[in-house]
Amino acid sequence: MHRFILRRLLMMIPIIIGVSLLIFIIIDLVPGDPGSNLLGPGARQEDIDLMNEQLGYNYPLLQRYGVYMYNAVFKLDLGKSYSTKKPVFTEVVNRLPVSLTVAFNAIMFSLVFGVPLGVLSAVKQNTLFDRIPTGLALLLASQPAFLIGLVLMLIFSLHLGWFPVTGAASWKSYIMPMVALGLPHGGRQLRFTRSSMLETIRQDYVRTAKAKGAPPRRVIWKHAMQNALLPVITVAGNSFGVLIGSAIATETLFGLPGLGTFVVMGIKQKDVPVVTGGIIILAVIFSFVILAVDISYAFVDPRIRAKYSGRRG
Amino acid sequence: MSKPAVPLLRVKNLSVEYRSDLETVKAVNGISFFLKKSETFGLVGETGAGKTTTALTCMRLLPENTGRVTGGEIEFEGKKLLNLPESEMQKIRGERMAMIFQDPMTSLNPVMPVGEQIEEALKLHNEDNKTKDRIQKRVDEVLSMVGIPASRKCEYPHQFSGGMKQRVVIAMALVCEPALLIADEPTTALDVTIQAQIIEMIRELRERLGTAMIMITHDLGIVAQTCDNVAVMYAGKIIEMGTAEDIYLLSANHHPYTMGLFGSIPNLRTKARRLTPIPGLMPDPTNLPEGCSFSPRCFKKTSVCDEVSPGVYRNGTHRISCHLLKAENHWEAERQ
Repeated sequence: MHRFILRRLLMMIPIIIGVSLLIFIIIDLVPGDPGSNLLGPGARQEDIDLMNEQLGYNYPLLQRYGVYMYNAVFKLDLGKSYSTKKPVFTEVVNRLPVSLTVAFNAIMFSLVFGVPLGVLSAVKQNTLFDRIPTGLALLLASQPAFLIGLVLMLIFSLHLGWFPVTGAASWKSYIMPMVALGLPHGGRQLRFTRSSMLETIRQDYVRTAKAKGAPPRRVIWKHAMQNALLPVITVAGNSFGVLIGSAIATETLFGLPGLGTFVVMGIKQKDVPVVTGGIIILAVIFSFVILAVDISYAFVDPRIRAKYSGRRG
Repeated sequence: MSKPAVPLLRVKNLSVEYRSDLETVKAVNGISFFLKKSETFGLVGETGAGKTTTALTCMRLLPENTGRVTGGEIEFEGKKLLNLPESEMQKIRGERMAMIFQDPMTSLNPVMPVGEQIEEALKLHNEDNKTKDRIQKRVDEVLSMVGIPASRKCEYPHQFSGGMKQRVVIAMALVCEPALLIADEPTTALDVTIQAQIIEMIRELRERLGTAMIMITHDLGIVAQTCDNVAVMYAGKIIEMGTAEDIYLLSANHHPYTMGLFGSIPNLRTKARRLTPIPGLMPDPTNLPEGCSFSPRCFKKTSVCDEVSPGVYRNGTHRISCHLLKAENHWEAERQ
């Protein structure tokens, strides 16, 4: 198991190199050079050229990439933002907790209501206990988070005054983003759990458990659930990884200083270091999330555990 | 038939259907049999004859959405099972009546160690508050009884071979020492050498524990090896029933279907170039023929067979449901 984790961590090195190189190349294809971006439209060509030379922009792409990665890994330096002149790395580090908190809360919230309701609707298939939750799930999953966010704001901030409208001042600020992002994801989670559970409760071993005299609750939660869990973990893990960087609309709506808004602002202002740094950091985090998902499989399923530890069953 | 002490299991006129939006499958159509303590009862027939459905109905494990009992009674240890509340039924399942399923590959939970799966039945039916040590001891005991070293109880099903898995399934069924064991084609999924081992083991265990058993199979050889009484099922009906001698005695009268079944077994003594299969297929259970359901395939069929469903004729312990027996000596019609 330890060896598996170590191996996976080592495998992440080429992945990160590949991803960052790809990002670096794509952004390099965008027209414009750092000199003219930094100095603005009124600058003289000589100054721009000088600036580009100072920044090392005239070197070939691969060399620039090498220098960039060297600085990133060994000096934690992702360059400075063109617009704010602040180091990108500190900016990302400051914003990361906000994004992680929002994404984590939203996923937890989606699991808390998506999984039990998904199980319920699978067990009571074709009854009202199935139709109402699945209908609700469809409704929720098809709403964009910012729309739910707006409705929440209207009710809980404007009318009831329970939560602040925007900002990240206290834990209260995180409640509405959690619900706004969690509801659509929970809807999806519900449907995944339901279909996974429907497949599992038809398995022979579930019937075996019943034949032993196990009461229905035990059959569902002990025998079926653990087997139905893998797809649920996969979906939750992926959603978490995606949410860290792409909760832009929600972050903007609630005025949360997260990574999504940071990168989007960078794109709008053609702030190359911000975009490159932001996306590379997001890609690295995403790889770690996927690794965590893979490892959690092993805890749920002994067959996967056996494969990881390399012993044949 | 002198009435013995209350039979362990009595199935009376049982009918079961599977209903879906599209069609109704008449899986079991009015079957009756009974089983005494420590007796082994063979239920023989082709795939789709209703054997497994009968077994699942006895356990009350029919698929909830589709399976429906449309008539009849099941009495087990004096309790009418079909009217029992689910909570009472849970006490019977696993404790008094256990089942071995057809496919050992899929009937074990892949994410639970086998020891834990065996132990579960004990824990669920722990009326006399056995301690943890006692339970573990019993698990070890039952594992070694089926020939698995107790040290393997922490392993998972994927670490066992098919035959070993079936042993685990059997250990699981026997751990509470049930009064009745239903074995639903326990060897169909296994290869022949393992089959022989498993059958031998089941026989031994039954003798040692005195468990009554319903042996469901389409393998007449297994029935001959293990069963006291045998019923042959066809299209959801018992068409012939009797002691193993009644069924296997070639000179006795038989239902044409039973004769067909025996005709399709290879015989080492006679030189036959081909086996004689029964022509045709089992009738569509959504649309059973009128009259005798075997008549479309029967080589002795008369005009009456297509119109009237045959009654049951009896000769001692031997019962056959076929119009042909009407004309035979020693056979009398039984009133249903």
